[in-house]
Amino acid sequence: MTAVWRASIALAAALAAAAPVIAADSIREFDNAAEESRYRDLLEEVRCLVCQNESLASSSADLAQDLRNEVYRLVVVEDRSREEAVEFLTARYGDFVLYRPPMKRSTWLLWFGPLILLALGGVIAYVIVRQRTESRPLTAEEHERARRLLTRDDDGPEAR
Amino acid sequence: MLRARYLIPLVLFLVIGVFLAVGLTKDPSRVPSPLIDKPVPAFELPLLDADSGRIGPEDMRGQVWLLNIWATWCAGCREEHHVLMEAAARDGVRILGLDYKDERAAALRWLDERGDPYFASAFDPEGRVGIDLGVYGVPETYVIDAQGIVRHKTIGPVSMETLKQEILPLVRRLQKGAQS
Repeated sequence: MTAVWRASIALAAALAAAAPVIAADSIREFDNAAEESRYRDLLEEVRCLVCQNESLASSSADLAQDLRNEVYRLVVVEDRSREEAVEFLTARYGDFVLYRPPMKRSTWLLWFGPLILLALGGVIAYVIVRQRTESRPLTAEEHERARRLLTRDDDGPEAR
Repeated sequence: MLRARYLIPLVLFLVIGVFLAVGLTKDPSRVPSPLIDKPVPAFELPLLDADSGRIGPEDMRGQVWLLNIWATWCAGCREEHHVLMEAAARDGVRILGLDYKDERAAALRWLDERGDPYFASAFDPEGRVGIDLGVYGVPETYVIDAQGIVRHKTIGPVSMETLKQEILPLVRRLQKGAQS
């Protein structure tokens, strides 16, 4: 049993380690780890416009390779900040390239829409639950009707 | 008795339906360009058909012009070629070609065989200017006014319909504005 466990853990580790190797990027050189993580993190967060559900890191489109070169030039060769590189990309391709859209007036609905819907759902649920549990004392008329129903010996529908 | 609360699902259905219907009419591969109403990025590229000489937006000041990004490897460019030919020949629209990530010999052969709708073609073999313009799907066509401001962008091939209904009226309007 432990042998099976060990084998499967080894397999999982091997698969996890293999993932970065599949990435489409060419081999890069970095001066330090911070530079490398800035470059790699940015690529993960930018959408490739050619194949829109892939990030720049994973896309093998021609344009993605060009943009990786640009990002490399910006954050590694010219040592610019992450913000500057994002600014460079959005100035050319628009906010759509960012998987995490920036918070601004036109994206408020996008950011807060789900919260608003959740709150709305909460209010509706609250109102319904309140209505169901609401009780009030019976009027005299209702009392009388209930008593008649309960004391009648016939269970079937009333004959006319 | 029809009570208002029974209308809630219907209203919800209509609201969601309208949102989804609008969403269906939009093509997600056409991303709005952030360059609209901004100055066209400056560039100076070698001319495609000459050993020397360069061309860029600066040379176009005072004119309303189209910037068409094309390449011999691009299928959409084949499709829109006759539209551009007509725009240039019949409507007298000034079109600057930008040959994007292409080979010079192949590009010259293409223009020779099919006809040349461009008054000049710039040559961008590495696609650096393409990045500055936010090009991601060749062909792309920009309408640029006399002040060098980008007014319109078509992503993908320009159809005869787009030319006649969107691009030509805009060009005429901008030309009138430039004269007055």
